[in-house]
Amino acid sequence: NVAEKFTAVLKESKFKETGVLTPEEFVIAGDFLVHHCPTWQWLPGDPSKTKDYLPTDKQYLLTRHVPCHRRCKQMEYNDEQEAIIDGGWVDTHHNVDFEKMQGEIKDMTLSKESEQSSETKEDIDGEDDDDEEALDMDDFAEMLDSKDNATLDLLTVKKVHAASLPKDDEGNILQTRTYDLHITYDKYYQTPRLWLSGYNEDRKPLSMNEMYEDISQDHVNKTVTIEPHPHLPPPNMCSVHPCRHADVMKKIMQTVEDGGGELHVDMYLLVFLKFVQAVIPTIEYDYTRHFSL
Amino acid sequence: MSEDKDRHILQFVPFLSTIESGFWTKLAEAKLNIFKLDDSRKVLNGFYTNSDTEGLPCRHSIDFGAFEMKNKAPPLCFSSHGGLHNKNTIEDFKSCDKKPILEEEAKLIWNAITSGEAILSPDLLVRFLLLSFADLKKYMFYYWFAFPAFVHSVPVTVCHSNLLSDVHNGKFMEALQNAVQLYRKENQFLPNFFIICSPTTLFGSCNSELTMTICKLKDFELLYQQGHKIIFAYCDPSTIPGYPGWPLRNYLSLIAYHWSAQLSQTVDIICYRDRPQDGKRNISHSLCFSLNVSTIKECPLNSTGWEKNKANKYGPRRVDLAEDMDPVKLAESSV
Repeated sequence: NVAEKFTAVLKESKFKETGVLTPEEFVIAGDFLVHHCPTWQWLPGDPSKTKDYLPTDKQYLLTRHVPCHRRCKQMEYNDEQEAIIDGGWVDTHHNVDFEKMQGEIKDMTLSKESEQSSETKEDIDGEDDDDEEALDMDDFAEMLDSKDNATLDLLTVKKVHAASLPKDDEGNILQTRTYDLHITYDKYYQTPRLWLSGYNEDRKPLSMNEMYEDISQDHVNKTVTIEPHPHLPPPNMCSVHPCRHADVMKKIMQTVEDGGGELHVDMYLLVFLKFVQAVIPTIEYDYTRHFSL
Repeated sequence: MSEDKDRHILQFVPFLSTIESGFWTKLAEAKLNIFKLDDSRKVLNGFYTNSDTEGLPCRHSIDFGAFEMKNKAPPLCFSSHGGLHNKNTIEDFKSCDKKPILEEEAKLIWNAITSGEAILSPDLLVRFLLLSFADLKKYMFYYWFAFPAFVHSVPVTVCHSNLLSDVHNGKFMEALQNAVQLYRKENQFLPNFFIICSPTTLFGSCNSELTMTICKLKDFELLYQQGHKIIFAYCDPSTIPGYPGWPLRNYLSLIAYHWSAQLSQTVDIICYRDRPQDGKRNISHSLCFSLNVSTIKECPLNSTGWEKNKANKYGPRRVDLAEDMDPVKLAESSV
């Protein structure tokens, strides 16, 4: 990234004025997140990609294998459930599970700026790409005779526990996808940046089209882009583009201040996660802490 | 699960392999620059966690750091050790004799058990094997994992089982959580496998105050001689109620070799599951077992552990990363 290379590292805190973060403030906010939501952890990343403006063992934040039971595009779209956080962030798919969170986000709501009409949901052809048989994998199957009855057959367990597994409206058992969520520091935009990498029930990586099924349709192809992860080797990863993050943060802070409160920099990532959830409404990551602004 | 009067064979939840995409990039680089046509066994590192949400599989992961020898497991994860057999052609991959390479890996476990090395470094009990073929022209990767374990000639049977939260009305759970917290404070990391030293057996009655300590496996003899009640514990990647995860298998082989005779073949086990929930750590879904473990002194003849594929058959898997790695396709999609 050429632009990033020539952007100087932000030194002075401009958090209050513009909603951006210095790397030091990112670390403070990250420490706070790890402390209060222990599913999040700091990681060092690939040593060849270490950024010197961050501590070597605190290059980015990661929470692994967050379940995602429902497809975003399967959820019934309902205008009444739509909350406009601000001009750019349309919070479209709030279901019951997120009611509480929605309330909190609504509290953060500022001016009802001109409402961006949510465009008709584009249906992506997301059929399973599981059929690209270059070689028939069944040819490889082997009879491995191990005479072992101490290995649990997962199919039997699935049958026994079928009643308690999450199902769709037609009663079919839903595939439990999982997502790894990463938060990196974006040097150019001087904000945190969210990255997603998804896996299907069989732990195979999801294709881009499959991941789009879990992304709010208003953000597909707009705020979500595919780019190299700053701390990991290729392939590229899906990311929520950070160009509006600072603006949104600034507005949220303004609201809090207007209400007589103060938003400290250590809370940044908790607030950040709440507003990026609008992009990935069905990923059930644990906030683990309720905070009042 | 309530107490089960019928003794039945203990079954283990097999690992499900997870490979983060960065691993394939590192494998492709190593194949081109270092291994070239050398397809001998290479050393790998992996990890697993005991904090996944219920309903998720018993997962074993490798990532881009798998080739780095100094790599330590990520926070909240526990390390495992493995061998890579990366073949040069799809035919080699297909025709590779699975039995000897699995036995080679299992032998490493057995040697660690008998030499006592696994008592000092219990993570040596969790091993994996990755047989692979990287079609670098098509960005297609074929792979088959095995998680070697021994088939005991007399299977391990269950005498009692329970949820941790139900043992001693949950008092046990509180005491254990405090003990783990203290251990973490003093030692930084909780080992994959450890001993809980308690004034009572898991399913016995206790009149005194429940205080317990976390000890290392190497303290067994001392604790035993001092007359302490010993409960074996390990960090359990399984999330299925009632069924322990795969690492317990080799742990029980270790216990069967060294200690089950002293314990009259009755072994208390806690499958420690520790999930952050609402800002707190929750261990109430951990499992407790009282098991009947027959002593073994000879290396069991059979080892098992090849992973089944999506169709629940023994067979390899394949991942197609052309969309993510092929420069031509990347260029197309970035327009």
